[in-house]
Amino acid sequence: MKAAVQVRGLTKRYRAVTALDEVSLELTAGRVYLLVGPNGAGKTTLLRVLAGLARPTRGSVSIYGRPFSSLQRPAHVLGACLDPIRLPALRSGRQHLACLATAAGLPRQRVDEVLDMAGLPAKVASRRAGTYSLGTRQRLTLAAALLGDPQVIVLDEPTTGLDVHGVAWLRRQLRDWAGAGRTVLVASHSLTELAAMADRLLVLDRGRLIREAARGELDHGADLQTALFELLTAQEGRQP
Amino acid sequence: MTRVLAAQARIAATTRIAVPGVLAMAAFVVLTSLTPAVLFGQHRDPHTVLEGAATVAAVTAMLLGALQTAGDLQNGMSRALLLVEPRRLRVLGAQLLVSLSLGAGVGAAAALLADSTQAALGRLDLPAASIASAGLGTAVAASLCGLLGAAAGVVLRNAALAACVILLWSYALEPFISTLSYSVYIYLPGGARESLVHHVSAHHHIPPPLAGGLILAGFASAAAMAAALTFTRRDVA
Repeated sequence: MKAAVQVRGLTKRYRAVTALDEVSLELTAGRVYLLVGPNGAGKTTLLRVLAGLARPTRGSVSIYGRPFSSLQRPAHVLGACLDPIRLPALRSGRQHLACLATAAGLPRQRVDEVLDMAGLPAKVASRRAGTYSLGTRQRLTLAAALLGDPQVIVLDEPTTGLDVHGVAWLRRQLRDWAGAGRTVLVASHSLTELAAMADRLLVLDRGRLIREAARGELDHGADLQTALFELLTAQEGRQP
Repeated sequence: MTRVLAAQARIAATTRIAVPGVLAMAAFVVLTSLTPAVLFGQHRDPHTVLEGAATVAAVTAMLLGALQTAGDLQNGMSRALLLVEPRRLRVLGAQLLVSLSLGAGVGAAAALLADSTQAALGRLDLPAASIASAGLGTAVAASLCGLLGAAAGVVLRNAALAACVILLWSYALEPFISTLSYSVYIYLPGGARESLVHHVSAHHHIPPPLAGGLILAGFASAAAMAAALTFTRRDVA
């Protein structure tokens, strides 16, 4: 099966800190990948490099065989939901999405569609984003990621701030997206909320991809949190 | 490019700093044009008033450009935009073009207001060609300053810092340099702006408007290149 996303020998350094160290992986269409690891493992950095926001120090990332920045219709290929905290405070959610839709060459009606998908009522979308709760910001950021109806969806801690309905909606969406042939990569600490939806797990630790496995291979049917803890502890050379 | 330009224009229109900024500039131009005459009966040379308006317009355009670009980098708008349009030079080019256009509008508005207030006072006793030429110079100076400010915002990446740098440069450092050496000052953006609006001095050599325009365009081009290097090489937070 042709890889939707290919990462080869990816290294990202910030001065003396190596955030990603020779990471190589392939993501295929129709699967949900859950990217896990301790704080500072490099999960967000990996997603930021995939989305073209951070430049790799070494290595390459390609989406359907091409770098993200050279895709003809990038919004139709990759949608990313990263850091919902920072949004332009004085612009309404609808205006924010309208600006992005214009840049992506999408019709205005698409804004209403994604607002509806993300569960943002018209009244809320018309308010300034500065007045939004964290959960509403998260929904707006998710709506922005879905604008181009992308084939690859990248989500960083997407359950942050979401209420139980939001988390339930997201869990359903993950499976629906994969079922429709999309590639979904989710970085999250919320193993209990999202692990059941994942096909494969990618474990990052101190910038290195230490394990890629089907969910069942890692936890052997037991508690995934414990399995992950044991794996990371063994990696550090300590006993649990 | 057209859709990115349209998006940047929409972003500038919905940022809610352009309209208050232009209104504040307009009020400042009107007040500084009218107050000395109305309150104190002091009538200033109309050309001096037009030059003052050009300075205010240029600084306003620089501030609006810098606040727009640095603000977008700080509040996540640039990041959101790059996620749907990752070609960074297109995004930056559109930002700079919008700031250039906004600056031209600010300059034209300032020139019109200054002309109108002087006409209302019955003091606009300049040849029509001089008025038109100074107005055109003001619009050109403000548009290039808009681009300069936007580029500074991209390089500095902090709206407050960019605003401080622009104000200190325009109202402290450049005037200080002009007192030290006017022959150096005329090759700085402020001196080039004065050339563009036909500043006349009995004591100093002032380059012709075209030379002033070229000097200012040179600064704007250099700043745009620095912004392009910064924007394409750095990570976007």
